[in-house]
Amino acid sequence: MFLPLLIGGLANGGVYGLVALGLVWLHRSYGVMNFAQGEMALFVTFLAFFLLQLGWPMGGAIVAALAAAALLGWVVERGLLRPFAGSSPLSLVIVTMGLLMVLNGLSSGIWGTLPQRFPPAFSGPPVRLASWPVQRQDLLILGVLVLSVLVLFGFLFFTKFGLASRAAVQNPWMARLLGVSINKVYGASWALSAVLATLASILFAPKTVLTTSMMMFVIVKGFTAGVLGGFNSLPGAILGGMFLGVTENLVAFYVSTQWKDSLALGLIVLVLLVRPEGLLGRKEARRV
Amino acid sequence: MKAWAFSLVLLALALLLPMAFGFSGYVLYLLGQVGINALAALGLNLLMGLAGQVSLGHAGFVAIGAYVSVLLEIRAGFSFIPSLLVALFACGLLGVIIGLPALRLSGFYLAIVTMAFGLVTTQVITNLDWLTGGPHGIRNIPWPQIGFLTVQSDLAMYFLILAFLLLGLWAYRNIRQSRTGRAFQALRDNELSAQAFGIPVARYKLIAFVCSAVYAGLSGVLYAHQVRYIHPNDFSLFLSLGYMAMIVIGGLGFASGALVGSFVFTLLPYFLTRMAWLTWVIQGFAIVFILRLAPFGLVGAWNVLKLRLQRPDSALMRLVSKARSVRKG
Repeated sequence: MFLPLLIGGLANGGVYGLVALGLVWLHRSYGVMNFAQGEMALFVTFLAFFLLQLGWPMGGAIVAALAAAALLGWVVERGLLRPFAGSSPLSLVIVTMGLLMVLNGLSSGIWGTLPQRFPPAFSGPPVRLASWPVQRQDLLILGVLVLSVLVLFGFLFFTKFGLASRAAVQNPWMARLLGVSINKVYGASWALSAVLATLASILFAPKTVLTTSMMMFVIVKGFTAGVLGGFNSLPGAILGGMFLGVTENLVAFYVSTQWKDSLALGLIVLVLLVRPEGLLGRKEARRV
Repeated sequence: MKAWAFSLVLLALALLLPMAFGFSGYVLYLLGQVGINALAALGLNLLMGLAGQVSLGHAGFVAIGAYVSVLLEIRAGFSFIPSLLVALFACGLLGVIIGLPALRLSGFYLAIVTMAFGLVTTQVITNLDWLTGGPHGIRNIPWPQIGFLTVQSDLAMYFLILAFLLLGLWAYRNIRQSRTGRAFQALRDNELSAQAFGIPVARYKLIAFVCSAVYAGLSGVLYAHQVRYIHPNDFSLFLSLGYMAMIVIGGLGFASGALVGSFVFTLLPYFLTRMAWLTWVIQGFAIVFILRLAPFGLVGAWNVLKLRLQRPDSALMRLVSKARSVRKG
C-alpha cells in the first residue's frame, strides 16, 4: 500500500510545490508574499473551464489560460502593487488580501458557487506500476512539475534575461546601474508566479471539484511548503511541497483523513518556532 | 467635539435609530450585528492598528468564543455569565498560543500563521462532530440568563450587545491612553527603537494578542446568543478579512474607526442580497483605494478635514500637508 500512497503524496506535493515556487520567487524578487496567488490561479482556471465548455480542445484552453495568467500577473504588478512600492508588510498584506477578495468575488459572480467537474487532460483507468494502480493525473502532475522546474532553471541560468533577474534579486540598485530594466524583471516575476500557480490549479482541479474555495487550502499548503523550504530557496520550495504531500497522505491513511488539512498548520508553527530558516534555507541577517 | 460629547451623540443614535423604525425585530437584529462585528473589529484594531501585528485569523477566536460558551451551556449546564467568562479565558489562552510565534515572526510570516489558524479552527470544529454537531451546527441556543433576568427579546438582546460594546469602547480607550497602549504604538512604529527604550517587546506583543482575542471571543459569545444558531462556516476566512476591511475603511487604530467600518460593511450585504459576490468585490476595491488615498481611513480623513477647516495654519496641519507632498513623490 506504500507505493500508491507515496506517488499520490508526491503528486499532491507537486501541486503545493508549484504554488510555493511562485510564492518564494515573488518573495525573493519582489519582497512581497502574495496572498492572492491562489485566487489569481482560480480565476484563470475558471476561464479555462469556460473555454472547455465552449468546445475548445484541452490543449488550446490550457495554453490560453496560461497566457491569461501571465497577463493577469503583469497587470496586477503594474496597476496594484507598484503604487505601493516600499510600503510596510502590513500594507502589502492588506493590498493582496484586497485582491483576493475582488478575484474571489468576481469568480463566484461570473461562474457561480456550485461545484463543477473539471475534466482531466488524459482520462482513462489507472496505470499499473509494479502491480499497484497509479492515477494518470498523478503521473501527469509529476511530469509537468519536472518539466516546469527544468524550464525555470534553464531560463534562470542559461538566458540573458534570467541572468538579469538573478542580478536584480541580489542587488536591485546595482542591476539597474548595469542597465537591467528592473520593471521588466518585476513584471516577468509576477507573470511567472501566476503561471506556476495556474499550472498547479489546472492540474489539481480534476482531482477535486472546481469551486471558488478550491484554492483556499492549496495556498495555505503552498505557504507551508515554502516555509518548510525556508522561503528563500527554490529547490527548498519543491522539496517542502513533496514532504508535505507525502506526510499528509501518510497521516490520512494511518491516522484519519479528517486531520489531513490541520497538519499544515502544525507544521508551519513547528518549523517557524524551531527552525525559521526552514529545512534548506540559509539564515537571514537583519540589518539594523 | 469632546470625547464625552461624541459618546453621548453615539449613544443617543444607538437608542433613537431602533425607535425610528418602531423597534422592529429586523432593525434590532441588524444593529445588534453591527455592534457584534464592531467588538471583533475593535479587537483587531487594537492588534493591527495600535500594536502593528497582523492577524488574518480573527474569525478563529470568534468561533472559539461562540462554541465554548454555547457548549458549556448546553452540555455542562453553565449559565450565561460563567460560560462567557470561561469562553473569554479560553480565547485569551489561545491568544497566548497564537501570539507565541509572533515573538519571533513578523509581517508576512505572522500573516501566514494566523491565516492557517483561522482556516484550521473551522476545520477542527467541523471534525469534532461528536462535540460540536460538526457540519450541522448547533440550533436552539438558549437565551442568555443573567441572575434572575432572562434576556429573551430582540430589544433586550440589543441592549445587552450595546452594553458590552460600550464596555469594549471604554476599555479600548483606556488601554490606548495607558502605558500599555503607548508601548503598543511604540513597537508598531519601530520595534528596535521601542526595545532600545526599554519596552519589553515580547511581553507587549503577547498582551496585544490576548486583549485582541478576548474582544473577538466576546463578539463570538454575543453572536451565538443573538442568532441562536452557529455553524462552522459562519466563521470563515472571509469573516476575518471582513474585520480587516472594517478597520482599514474606518481607520487603523481609531476606536471609532472600528465602529464606522462595522456599520458600513455589516449593512452592505443586506443592500446587495442575491449578489453576495459584489460585497467582496466592493470591499476588496475599497480597502486598496482607502489605503492609497487615506491610510487612516474615514475617521482619519475626517480628522484632517476638521483640522483644515478649523485651524488651517496650525503646525500640525503644515505637518500633514508636508507628509502628503512627500508621499506623492
